[in-house]
Amino acid sequence: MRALIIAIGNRLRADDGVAHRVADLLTGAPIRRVHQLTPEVAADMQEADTVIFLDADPAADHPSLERVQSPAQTAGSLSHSMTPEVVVTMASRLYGFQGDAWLCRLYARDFSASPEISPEAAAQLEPAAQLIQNLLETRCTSPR
Amino acid sequence: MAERIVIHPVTRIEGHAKISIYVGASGEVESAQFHVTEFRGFEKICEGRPFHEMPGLMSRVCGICPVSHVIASSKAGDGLLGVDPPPAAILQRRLLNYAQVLQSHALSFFHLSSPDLLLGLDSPPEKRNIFGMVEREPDFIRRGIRLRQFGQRVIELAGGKRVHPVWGAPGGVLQPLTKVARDEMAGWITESIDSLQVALGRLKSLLDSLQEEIQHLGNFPSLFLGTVNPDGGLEFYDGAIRIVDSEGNIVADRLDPQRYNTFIEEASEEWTFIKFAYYKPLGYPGGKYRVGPLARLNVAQHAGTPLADREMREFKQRSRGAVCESFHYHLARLIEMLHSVERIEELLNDPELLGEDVRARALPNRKEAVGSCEAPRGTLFHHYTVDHDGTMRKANLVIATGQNNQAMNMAVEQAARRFVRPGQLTEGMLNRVEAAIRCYDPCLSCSTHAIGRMPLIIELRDKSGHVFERIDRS
Repeated sequence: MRALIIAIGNRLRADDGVAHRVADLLTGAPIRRVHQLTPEVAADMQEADTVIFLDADPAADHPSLERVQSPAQTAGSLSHSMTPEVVVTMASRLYGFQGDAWLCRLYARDFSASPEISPEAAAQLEPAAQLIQNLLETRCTSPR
Repeated sequence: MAERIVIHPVTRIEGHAKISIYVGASGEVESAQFHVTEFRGFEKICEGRPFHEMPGLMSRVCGICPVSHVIASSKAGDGLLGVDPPPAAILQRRLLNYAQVLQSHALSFFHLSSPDLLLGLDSPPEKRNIFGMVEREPDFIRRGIRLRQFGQRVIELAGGKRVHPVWGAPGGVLQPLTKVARDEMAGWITESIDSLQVALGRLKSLLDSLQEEIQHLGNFPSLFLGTVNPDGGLEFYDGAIRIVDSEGNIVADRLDPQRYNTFIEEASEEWTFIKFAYYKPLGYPGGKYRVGPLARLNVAQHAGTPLADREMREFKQRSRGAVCESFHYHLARLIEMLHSVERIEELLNDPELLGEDVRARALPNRKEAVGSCEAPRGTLFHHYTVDHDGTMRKANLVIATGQNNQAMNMAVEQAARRFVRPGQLTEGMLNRVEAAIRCYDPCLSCSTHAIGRMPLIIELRDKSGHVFERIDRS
């Protein structure tokens, strides 16, 4: 298995940086850290067969994993920020990416200018890391 | 208990803008305004901080061109210390600035503007986006991605991070460049030059079919301002300011960037948060000028690298005087990218680049200094004032997009007059107005980078200001 973790967010905007903190706890896969998703991330995915996006989500109550739906229905606005669906679709069409892509949504409510995350966000770090570590181990041991 | 600074309202950093188009009694467009509706206040945040923190703080001004802010800030720091950075530090600063020009211009041209250029301004909006490009022009998009990756990789290898590198410092940079990093950078050169020549060929082949847009998306006389080296050549790191008029005549030359406030002034308007810079001797609004790729190619006599020089000679033949069509920012951007890759190659071959001595140290020796450089979008000035112990008392940042503000407003008005039909607003009209703005690649808090769906509000108003038609795409 060639896995890639993509941690999205800004460590200086409180809970927005929670994905990086979860990534700090992970082992066994390279980690690409970004503020936002941009087209180059699609190129980074070409060697991977399992990609896991980690992102802060103001609507998430607890860490959860879901498959990234591809192809994306719309390209979106291609601002500085793209969705995982758009990046996966680009990786597939431009670089032949055929692997599995997952999105882990992480609890985030406080987006103020601070390097500290909220206690609620901090409480999910270990469970989120365990969730992803389990997925990585499953992918290592199970035939696709 | 730690003090907490609360900034409210939290500004929208993706860049938010509004356009008002004023319609006269005859039903024709009379004028238009480009409003920037966000406010950040970085200059205020700087006050009270130690000046040596400034490059790190300024790296956070922008996610696209942080290196230019770090360089201007570090140069202002050099001035406060009263030192000259070691040669290796200057070479590193030059290297990263070219890398940033490359990656920023690649974003603007390949990702943001190429759907308009290659798929057509009137192509269906649901196709005129990155997916449309991936479908129709996959090789072209891959080349753009690789060019941006190259620029970002150079920044990452030297500065530790692709975005917001903590790398520059008053007196130099924080660490030497390794041979391994240098060698990896060198591996990208040939492919990058090839991609840029492909892109230049494609763009030039399209120009004949885009004459309507070239003539009406911001084609007007203005001054042009940029940095030139002692030979009058294209310069991005250090040099003197030159100003030319639309005929190509030199209006002012050898201006010292340290004294920018003797020739540049900024005006404010109540309807936008961006200031309006102007050339002081001609007053406001008569002293309007443009900066950035088009201006740099207009003020410089040559590029100083073989491939870019060939392109620049051809570029200059597009006009007897200065090239005034804002549409040609795109072409100028590609020529600058080619020049940047050539310069990167030169710098990588310079043995001094790997020098171990990268920082001159001193205590503050001056209380005021200006740092300037050419950022991707134009000339950038950082002006700092400190007290006796180096605590920041005042910061003034004069940023390229503000210097292009008058021109962007004129471009919007010209596009609206030409293409807007009151009562019949169409997506194609909206896209042309966006395209006029996009020529400048504006950095509204370093954003408004969007393909086809720029967060714009367009309002049609009568002379009394009454809104009678509105499209909101925010």
